[in-house]
Amino acid sequence: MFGETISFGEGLIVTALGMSVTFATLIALSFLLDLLRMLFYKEPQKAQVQVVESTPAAEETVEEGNEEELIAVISAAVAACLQTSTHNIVVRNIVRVGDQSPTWNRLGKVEQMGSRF
Amino acid sequence: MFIDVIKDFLLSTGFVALTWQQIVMLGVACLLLYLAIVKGYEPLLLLPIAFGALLANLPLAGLMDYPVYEIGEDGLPHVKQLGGLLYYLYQGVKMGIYPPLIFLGVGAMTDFGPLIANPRSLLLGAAAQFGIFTTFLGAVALGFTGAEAASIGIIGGADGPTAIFLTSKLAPHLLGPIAVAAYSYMALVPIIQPPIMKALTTKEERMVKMEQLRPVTKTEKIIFPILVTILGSLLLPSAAGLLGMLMLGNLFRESGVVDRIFKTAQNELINIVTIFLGVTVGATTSADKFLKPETLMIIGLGLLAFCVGTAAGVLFGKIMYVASGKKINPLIGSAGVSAVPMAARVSQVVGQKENPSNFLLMHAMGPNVAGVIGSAIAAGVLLSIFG
Repeated sequence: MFGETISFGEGLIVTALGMSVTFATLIALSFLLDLLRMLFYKEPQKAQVQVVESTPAAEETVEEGNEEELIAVISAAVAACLQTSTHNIVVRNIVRVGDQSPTWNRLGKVEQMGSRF
Repeated sequence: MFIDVIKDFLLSTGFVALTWQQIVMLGVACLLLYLAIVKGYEPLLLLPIAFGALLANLPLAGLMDYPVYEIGEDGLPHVKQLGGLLYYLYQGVKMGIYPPLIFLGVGAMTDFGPLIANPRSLLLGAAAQFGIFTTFLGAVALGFTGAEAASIGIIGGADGPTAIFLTSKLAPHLLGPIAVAAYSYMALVPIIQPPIMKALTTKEERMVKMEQLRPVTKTEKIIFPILVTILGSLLLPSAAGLLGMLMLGNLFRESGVVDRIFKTAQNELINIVTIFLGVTVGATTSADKFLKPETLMIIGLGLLAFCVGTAAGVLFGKIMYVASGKKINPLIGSAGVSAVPMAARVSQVVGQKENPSNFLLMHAMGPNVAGVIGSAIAAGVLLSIFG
């Protein structure tokens, strides 16, 4: 179509052509995907949504609930894990550890939770 | 007598034949090895490329030498001397065999689900290809020929196999610098992109939380690769090699009936081809081809390509932010430059800095994989014009 060396004007033509073909193809593809959705995808029933409404409140009470209760629960868990009694261990300090898992793992968790509720 | 033998031996070693250009290139190769091993920049590719560069710049080793033919008594050419090892492995690059095979593996590893769930992200994948054509214009202005400029522009596709595929067909003499530039900048995506993304967006835009993507049915996932292959290859037959193999690999994955070849495609096959591709592409950086002023221009233009691509993606994201009624976070636009999955992770990281509870990763994977399709199409256009 063009000679060995091309001028800037010819370059502009190539640019216009290239960008419009790229856009046209991908726009066409995006409409075809819409068509796919209409043909093969059915909205899941949303009946379960109402049930969930009350759960966040329950979680919050645990978070902000009695400090002593939380300490008791954690010490019991530690004791159970070490296969000993709570009398044999002394809890001096409890520090919440930040989430160290990679982004992909955390995203997976969020998605799993999102798709269940 | 004895002295003559020693003298002959010394003259046959590489030390005598070493030129200063080759010494420089050995230094460059060692620098790339350092970046790959110590800094961990795309080591899977940079390490073989760097070692290929090392091998190609050792004098008298002749690893990239052409075979020598002579016309025999029967009038037909006969091999007089075989070519170097890397010469034969390089045929896979030269004939455009390795990049589509890599794409087969990439397809097997890619989940197009986020793209199918949000078809509009294809637009972002298209917008980011603007970097390719801006750089193409820049290269034309600097006096490169059309075919060379197209090969330089494709660095902006941020897609190694596509860049190598196009360059090996249009401007094989520039393969070394272009491959090195493309892979280096891909490794630098987490450094290049964030400042551009922040400069072009407001805090409010970066805080936008996007709705969770809908689940995608298996039927859609299976039809998608078939559909893209038919549509893409009918429109741009020159892109059929790359696009077809990408989608074949994806069909291996989604069909669920060819588990064995699916595993091979995404593991052994892509690994083997990566070794061959890396070493031989590295071997094209022989001193006489690499140490030229053009190389510096290509490296500069490559950076421009990445920056413009990122900016175009983000700006188009802003348009979609307005058009969608503030539902789309413009940060996912930068992922349209391909560089899977690094660019998507950059969107996630930048977004999470503004709003720690925001998860943009899957939303950014849509434009990200769309960018792969987009750059394959752009390469097809350039190939059909200049090929």
